[in-house]
Parts: sequence; structure tokens; C-alpha cells
Amino acid sequence: MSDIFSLYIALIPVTLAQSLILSFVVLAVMIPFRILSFPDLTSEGAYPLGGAVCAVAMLAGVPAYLAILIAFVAGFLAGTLTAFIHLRFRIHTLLAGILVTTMLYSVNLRLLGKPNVPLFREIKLFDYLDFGPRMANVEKIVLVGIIVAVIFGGLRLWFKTEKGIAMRAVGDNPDMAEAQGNNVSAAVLLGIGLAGGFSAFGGSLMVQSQSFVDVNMGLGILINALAALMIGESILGRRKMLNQLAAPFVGSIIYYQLISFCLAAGLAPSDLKIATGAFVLIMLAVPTLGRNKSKGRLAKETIRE
Amino acid sequence: MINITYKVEDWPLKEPFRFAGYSVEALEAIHVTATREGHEGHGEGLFAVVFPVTMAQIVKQIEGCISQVAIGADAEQCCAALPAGAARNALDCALWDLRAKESNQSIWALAGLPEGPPAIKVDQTVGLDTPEAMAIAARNSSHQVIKIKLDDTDIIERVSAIRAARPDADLIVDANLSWSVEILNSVAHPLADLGVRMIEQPVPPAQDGQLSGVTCPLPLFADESCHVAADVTRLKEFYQGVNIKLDKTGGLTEALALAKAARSAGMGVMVGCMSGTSLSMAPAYIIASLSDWADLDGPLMLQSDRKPTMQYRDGDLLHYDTALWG
Repeated sequence: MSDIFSLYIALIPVTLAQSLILSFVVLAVMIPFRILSFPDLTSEGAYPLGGAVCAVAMLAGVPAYLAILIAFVAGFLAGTLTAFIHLRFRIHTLLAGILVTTMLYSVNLRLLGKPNVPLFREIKLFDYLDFGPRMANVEKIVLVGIIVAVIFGGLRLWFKTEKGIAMRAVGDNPDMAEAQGNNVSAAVLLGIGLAGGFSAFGGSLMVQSQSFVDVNMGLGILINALAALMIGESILGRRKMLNQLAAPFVGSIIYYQLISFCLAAGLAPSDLKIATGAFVLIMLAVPTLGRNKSKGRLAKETIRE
Repeated sequence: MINITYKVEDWPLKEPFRFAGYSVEALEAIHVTATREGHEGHGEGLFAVVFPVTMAQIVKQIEGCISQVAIGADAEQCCAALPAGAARNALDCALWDLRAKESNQSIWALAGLPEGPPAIKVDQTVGLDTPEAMAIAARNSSHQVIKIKLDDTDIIERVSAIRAARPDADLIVDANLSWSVEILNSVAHPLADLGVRMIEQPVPPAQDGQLSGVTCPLPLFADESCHVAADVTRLKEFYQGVNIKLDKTGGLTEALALAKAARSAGMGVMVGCMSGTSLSMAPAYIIASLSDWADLDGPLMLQSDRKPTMQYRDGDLLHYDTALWG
């Protein structure tokens, strides 16, 4: 047992750095799902897209920080494409996300030219900090921690502005928001675009952290992000905007620490996805278990209709 | 989960080793340990001055894998995703060792090979020096095969001196890409007359194409030009053999694939090393069993070696102890 704990503790800095990077993907799941009531799968494609765009840009000589911004823009465009497909063609949000994600796989492969591209000679964002030998994870924690703080603060301010409040209104009740003169399409395009941008941003940071991009790096990222979001929300709640915004970051940190502990305790990596899926299912199902039988029957009848 | 840790180590040489424009006083190695449920696997990768990859970059590659494995990625997939080089070599060999320890099988069995021989004939390398000093070094060697490091000066003088000192020895020559095609044409026949058996990497990789018009009486082996199995298709036009080094292939997995590809193309096979401790030699011993020439004298140059050390006896390298690896 002490071996498990010592292994887990040794991995805490690594896992913390990874979870901060992946918290942007959790944020990318939260914005469509909770702010816009727009369940969206684009993150799964935007994440490797960000990695691929960042890698290609860096290989072309673009500085690391600029490559990340380019990746964000690419992800933003992917998100707006999903939103556009939904708004213009009345295609269900999930299907629109699946379509875009599927197409992005080919785009990523075309961009990279091969499934896996190393980035070992290029200067990464984390290379700008040098805390000394064996401090790579601390450098990542500090740098990504600062970025998280800036983005969290920026979003906190944004959702207090007129446009931010309008976006929340669109998510709560699009008909009412439209009646009040809000541009629903613009809010959806912007929100889903931002989500795609954040997912790509996370992908580009991950590529710079691990020094290679893999076309399959997005596989399963969505379910991990969803699980992290569930944890964050169950801890912080969703009543206040501040809590809703903090949930992805807190959830990501706790979720990946849990994963790390499970792995240290002997869970095979191949069993992780079923464990994560079961966890998300439980988190989603638990609130319904507390309801009384009549409400349960009502839900069943509603589905049957 | 497989817990991956690493250590960067310095292994001082007995004396500075000189070859084609370089002088090395100590080896810089990364020692990777892969642990799972009480079993430990070890692997070593060497920083090589001839390749444009720094130890800091090698470390970052390993740390990238550690980060991925910590959140659920498969260690073997992470290893396979690394580029061919020292980092992947260290991790790949550690994973082979771990698999052997966990399954209680030998590496030979895991690789689908017959059990290896108890000893393999290996060369001893004579570093670049004056002809007289190189002749003394060759005379002092108990190895049947002498590998001679050369640059583009005093080629025949150096080899002649060594031949005079060791008329019985099998001589092989390593130019470490310091020659041109013109130099190769001018020295190939005299070297053949001196009984040299093979020439390793005469020209830089960028000039491989110029070798297609050369009629050399000695087989040419590709070293710096050949890294992975995919290189064989291109190189078989210019070379008659390949020098397999695990620090180039990025581990035993790709080294086995390269040996198979070279044999399928009708090429000769040599196994080499970037020097290294016994932990580097043990996985290379597997490839040595498939090779025509074995250049695995790395530990002989070191002031001290990793325990349990691999033993040399009269020019033979004895089979590794499984407590070391495998």
C-alpha cells in the first residue's frame, strides 16, 4: 500500500501539469454544454487540430507562443463550423459535432503528413522558463497556471459584460433571448467557436509539453473532460457563474489525480475508459436516484411521447 | 501502471577517445527504469556527439512519456511514438527487460529467436592516433577483429602499421564519413591488399548517391546513413551492409526489424554501439547473434562499468547475466 502512495505522490507534479493543460478541454466542454445548452463533440477533433496546427507552425519556424495562438484560431474556426452546420442546416448539435470531428481527422492527417510528428528541436513555450534540472513539471505548472488564471479572469469579466450575459441568456432560453433583441446565431457561433478554440489551445499546449503530436491524441479526451466537469460541478455547484467557470479547472485537477491514483493502485490503462465511462454515468445518474417514483415515471412517459 | 524513472549518468573513459574530428572523454547516458508490481526493467541510451540531439532533448522525450503514462497512456505506445534515438532506445530496452522479468521468459524467447550463443566474437576499436600509437594499441589487443578509426589523413600508413603489428587480425575500417568518393577510390584497393575486410561509412549520408558508380573491392557498410528498417530500401543500392546501433534504431524492437530488412535485401549486418556500459551491450548482444560483425567493445573503454558487468574473454563477449538485463 505504501508503494502505491509513494508512486502516486511522486506522480503528483506530472499529473498536475497535465491536468492544468487538459483543463482547457474541460472548459471547451463546459461552455457549449452548460452555458449554451448545446451538447457538442467538436472538442474531440479540435484538440488534435490544435496540436497539429501548432506543430506545423513550429516546424515552419513560427515561435511557440504564436503557434499556440494560431492553433486557437484554427480551433475557433472548427467550432464555428459546427455551430454553422447546426444553425444553417438544422442538423442536431451532436451530429454536427461528429461530422466536424470526423472531417478534422483527415485535416489533421493532411496537415501532419503522417500520424506522428516529433518536435524535439523546436523551442517550446516551456523552454522560455528554466528553473533548473528536473524542474520541467514545475515550469509547466507555473506557466500553465498563469495562463489558466488569465483565461479564468478574462472569462469571468466577459460573462459580466452585455454580450456575455446575452450568451448566457441564449443558453437559458433562446426564444426569450431573441425576443429581447439578442442575436442568437452570433452568440452560438461565438460560444461554440470559443469552445473549439480552447480545446485546440489545450491540444497545442499538450503538444509543446510532450514534444510530439499524434493524430490520435484526441481519442477519448471528451469523456475524460466530461468526467472532470462532473467532478468540478459536484464539488463547486453550478448556482453561481463563478463556480460554473471554476468547475472545469478544479474538476480537471481532481479527476486526473484520481486517475493517477487508480493507475498507481494497479488499474490497467486499457481499463481506464470503461472506468471513466462508468464514473460519468454514475455522476449523471445519481441526481435522478434521489427523485421520487412519480417523477421517474413522468420522465419515462416524456421519453415515450 | 508502468512507472518510468530516469537518471542521467556520466561514465568517464579510461582515456580520451578520438575519431574523425571528435574527442570524447566521458559518456553521457540516460538510464531508464520501468517498474510494475515489483518487477524492474532497465535500459540505457547514449548521447552521441555525431547526432544533432542534446541530452536535454533526450530527457524531454522521456519526460514526455512519463507525463502521458501518468494520465493513462500506454507506455509501449508512448515509446513507439518517440523518434528513433537514444531516448526510445533506453525506454524500449527497459520495456523488453520488464516484459522478460514479468513473464519469466528470456528475451530470445520473447523475440522469437533461438537461445543465443554463450559468447560472441567482438572487435576492439583502435581510436585515431599516430600510426605508431595505433599499432601499439592493436598489438595490445587480444581481439581477433580490430576496428580502425580513420579520418582522411595517413589512411594507408595507419592501416599498414596496424597490419604489421597484427598480421593475424581481421581488420575493419571506419571512416566515420570523413572521406570523399575520390579518397575511397584511391584507398580501396590498397586497403584490400592489406587484408581489410570491410569499410564502414566512407562518405557523409548526403553523398551516398555518389557511391552507386564506385566499384569497391571491399564491402561498404552504412552507419550514419542507416537508422531504421525503412532506410534499407534506399541504401541497398549503395552499400553491401548496415551497421545496426540501438541508439540509432531507437531500441531493440526496431533493431530486430532492421536486421530482418537488411537480410531480406541480401545485405550484411553489423551491430555497433555508441560505446556504453554493459546495459547497452546486453540488448545489442541479441542483434550480435544475427550479425556478421559485432562492434560491442564499449565497456572496455570505460573506467568503471555497471554491475553485473558483461565479461570479455580473448576477444569474445560472453552472454549477459539476466540480473543485468533480459
